[in-house]
Amino acid sequence: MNTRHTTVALTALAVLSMGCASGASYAGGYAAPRTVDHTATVAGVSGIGIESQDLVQVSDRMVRDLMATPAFMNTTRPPRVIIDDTRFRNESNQMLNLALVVDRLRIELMRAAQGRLLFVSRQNVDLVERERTLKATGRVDGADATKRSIAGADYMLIGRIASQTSTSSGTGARANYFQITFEMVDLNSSLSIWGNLYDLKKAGADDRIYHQQ
Amino acid sequence: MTASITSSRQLRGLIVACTLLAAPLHAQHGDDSVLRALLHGMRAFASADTAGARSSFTLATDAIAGIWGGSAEAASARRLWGSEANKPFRGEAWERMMAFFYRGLVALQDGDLGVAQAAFRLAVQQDAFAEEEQHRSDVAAPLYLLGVALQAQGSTGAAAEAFSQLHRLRPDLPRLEATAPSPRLLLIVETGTAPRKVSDGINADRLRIFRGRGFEERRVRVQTGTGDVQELWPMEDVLWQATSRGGRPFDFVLRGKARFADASADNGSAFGGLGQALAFQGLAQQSNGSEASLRVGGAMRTTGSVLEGVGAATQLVGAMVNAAADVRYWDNLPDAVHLLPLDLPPGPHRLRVTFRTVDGRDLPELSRDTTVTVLPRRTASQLVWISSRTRASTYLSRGR
Repeated sequence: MNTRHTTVALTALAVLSMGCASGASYAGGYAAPRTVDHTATVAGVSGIGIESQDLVQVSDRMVRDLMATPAFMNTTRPPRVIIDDTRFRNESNQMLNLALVVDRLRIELMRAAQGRLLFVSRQNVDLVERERTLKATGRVDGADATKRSIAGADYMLIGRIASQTSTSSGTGARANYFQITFEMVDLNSSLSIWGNLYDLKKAGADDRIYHQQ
Repeated sequence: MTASITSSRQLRGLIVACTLLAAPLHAQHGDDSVLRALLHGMRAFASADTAGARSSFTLATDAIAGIWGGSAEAASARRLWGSEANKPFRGEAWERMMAFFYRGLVALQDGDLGVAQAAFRLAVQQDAFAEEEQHRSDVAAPLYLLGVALQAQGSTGAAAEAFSQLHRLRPDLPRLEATAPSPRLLLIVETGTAPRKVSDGINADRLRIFRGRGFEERRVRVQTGTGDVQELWPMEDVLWQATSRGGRPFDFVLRGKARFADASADNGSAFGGLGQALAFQGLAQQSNGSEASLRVGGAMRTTGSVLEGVGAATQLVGAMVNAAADVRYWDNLPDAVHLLPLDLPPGPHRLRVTFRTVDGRDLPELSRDTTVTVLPRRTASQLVWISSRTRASTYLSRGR
């Protein structure tokens, strides 16, 4: 064995030993994380909550369903309804602006109903009363309407958003199940004349680097 | 021989130089916008800047609640040379829990009960991700406030469920009725300073959490204008939440990196020693003077030099490994949260809050006097928040 062969053999042995050392101890290797949606606020972060497109879809479906309900729509006098957020309850894990949901529902329903439903704006009664007072005192023109009663409502739309969350600390997977319920309550009889529910599920898994913990 | 020793010294110098050069890279942090939002939010909340607290905590909680996929920074944290601190900061379970807790408090102040209950619900859920089964969802303060927010918005069924869960967790607290009116006034007093994250071990790969420093107060009492003195309910020990979380899967990665670094250092040292011994043997062989001895001795010296080089390179690789745990933390959190509902009649009331050590010694220098005007009945409970300590952040004062 000459000098060159001896050198090459010993060096190869050393390099092989180093390779063995590196392969033995590093615990790496991860599956690619699964994500849904792409509404990112921090790079790589996406949502598993109720998104704006979900609300649009839900309100569209609700309006179509409500407009196709004969007991509600086929009346000689257009029913008067209250649709505001006073009886919409958020019992979910979503920090939602409920006014956004309810306003969209009301406006969509107004446009679809084309006069077959009348909408009572109960939250603005103080506004009406102030204007009536101004008219009655003659400070602004218009007929004195203080003797006339303010429009009463026949129905009120109530609703609730609830959620159920399941998690797996082992895989970092999380799933949110949402259920959005609507009911139309007859304000004279307290009967619930219409109801429907919409559900959606969102799931995803955090990158393993964020696994809990 | 002289050449071999010189090259060995040069290589060792190279290791030191590379380690020093790598130090700033090791000190680099990934995206910490969530951490900064939490620190700013806390500071704003403590100084009664509700708008600032709302925007900061909303930013932070919106991000935390999402799914955190793999970013380039997160991938670099997994590499041998990358620090865990390269990953975007999301906080540990207790930090995430507290983020939603404060977001809920801001929403309660705003009277936005839907958002408040959602935030407290998410605070409870953050804790449910803790690994240890017996410590799942053992957070009392967010659970209580979840019940209060649901109670105020008329969700009595859900409120009863929250109060029932709280009662199972804390049977020492008075039994709460979901159908009763929500408390008119909620007094929340926070004591102490934030739990500290410290890296431990030769490779700084072990994340350890210690109680904050520089405070003794552990118990709180309040005296209302009428003279009644009541002990506040100790609702949340933040350190307990921090240390009962179990291990993290990423801890195994850090340990793997540390073992690799240690093995590289040992192997490098062994190769270096072997190389030096071989070089000495080669020199001795050459001193025989024969042609064959000169040839064999030369080969041994060359091999010795190569092995020394391999050893130095192996040590260099080991020195470049970064197994350090991420020790960024939310440093202006309290140590504990105390709470008491007060049903005071509408009008101004003077409250005197006093602090005591765990063994009941008074700390008069920390006492706080405040006057609160209880409003006529409104849907959401009115909040009075007091902290025994300032909410200054070392992290923010360093200008990071």
